[in-house]
Amino acid sequence: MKLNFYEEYDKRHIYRLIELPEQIIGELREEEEEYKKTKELQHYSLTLRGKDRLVLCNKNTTWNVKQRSQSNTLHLVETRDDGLASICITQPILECTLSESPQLDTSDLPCYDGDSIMGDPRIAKHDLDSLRNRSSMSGVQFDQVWAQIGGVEVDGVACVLADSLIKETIDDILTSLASQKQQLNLVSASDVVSDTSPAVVTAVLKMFATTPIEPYNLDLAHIISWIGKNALGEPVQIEQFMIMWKNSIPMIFDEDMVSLDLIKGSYALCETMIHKLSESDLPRDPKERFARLFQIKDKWELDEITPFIEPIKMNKSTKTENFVLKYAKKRKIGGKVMVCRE
Amino acid sequence: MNVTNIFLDHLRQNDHVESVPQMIQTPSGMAIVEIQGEVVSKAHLQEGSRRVGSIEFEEKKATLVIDGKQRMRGSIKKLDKPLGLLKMDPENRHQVDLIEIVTHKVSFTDIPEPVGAEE
Repeated sequence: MKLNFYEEYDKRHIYRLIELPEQIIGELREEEEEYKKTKELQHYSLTLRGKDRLVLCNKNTTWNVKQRSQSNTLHLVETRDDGLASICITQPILECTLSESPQLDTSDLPCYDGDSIMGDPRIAKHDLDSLRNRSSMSGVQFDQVWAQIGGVEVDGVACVLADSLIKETIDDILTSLASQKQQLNLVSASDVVSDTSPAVVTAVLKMFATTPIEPYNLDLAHIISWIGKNALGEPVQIEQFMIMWKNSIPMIFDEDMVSLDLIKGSYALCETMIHKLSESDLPRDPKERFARLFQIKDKWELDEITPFIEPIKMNKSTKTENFVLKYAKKRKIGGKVMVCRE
Repeated sequence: MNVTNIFLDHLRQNDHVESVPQMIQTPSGMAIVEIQGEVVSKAHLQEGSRRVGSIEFEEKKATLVIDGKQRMRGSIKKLDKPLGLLKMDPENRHQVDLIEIVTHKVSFTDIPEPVGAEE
């Protein structure tokens, strides 16, 4: 079979090649089969999103998209009667890698405290649908993240709930359930007696639920953990903090559940004191981050320092124990692995 | 944030699909030809079509002859991952057509050799 090879560039369009994930190929093939049967167009949601960082999304999954250069030239050719015609030389191939946990930037979102919406007036506000459409993730993932961060739409504005309002609503939820002797695994918004709006109650229920729809299955350990993190503030004696934490939980519960393990990554223990420490407040540069951590104290238990180190590891498969050796010393003291200043 | 919808083009068709070997036949008639380096031609400077050479297929093997002067030997290869072919209209940035899913390519990655006088 001998064919002519032509060049006839299409200058009116831009062509790109994208490496499609298997999941998307399967869905496209199903869509195509469906179209052949019904002759009705039922496009399933597939979008490219982003400005500086591009992502590919279907309904429930997000992939990061990067350009992959190649040294060879890829001609896109069209079949003709007597041959093939190159209609363009394609740009670098777009490569997709699964985005395990896409993040929603909440820094620009206004905050609702139960009375008013607070936020920088210079930053545009959006309703929930608009925020969902503008996010760098699939719709299903957006709804999950939105529930996890305690997002709520108030008067057509997508907001995050103020910690004070979350705590107030948790108190109302737990008190209502305790007074009705109701279990935490089948909770409806209508079970909760609260002065806050039903939308806020639902947002807080979703924040701590293991199920996305009513009736909600509330995760008590998650609630206790949130209350503990929220109770952290100025440095206090550890024992005093533990009492304060237990007293902030408005229901009868197994006190053994209240353990520092639940709030790992939110504190630093310095002798008998507990200090609030947030990973997001530490410098991104590893050298500077270690320096800041050693300003707080000279020796860290590996377990305690790990949550502050994990996010800055370039290669996630590197063991934290090995990673810390670049910036600190490791010693075994009393059977425990300690990370010390170099 | 820019959001672009991708739609699979169900109406794609090409009447000349069978002009090429079955392995690179696609509903739209689009295929990928990979060439080491680049084909130097002035086709992009002129309107219309310009013949730059020929491609000969013999089962999986392929031979590309450019301007009757250089020959490249290659073959039809299965792609590691299928490639979606996106077609964009610069005037409409909110929609992209996915016009083909390509699973094979014709690959010429050997060094070009001069075509003998007998050819």
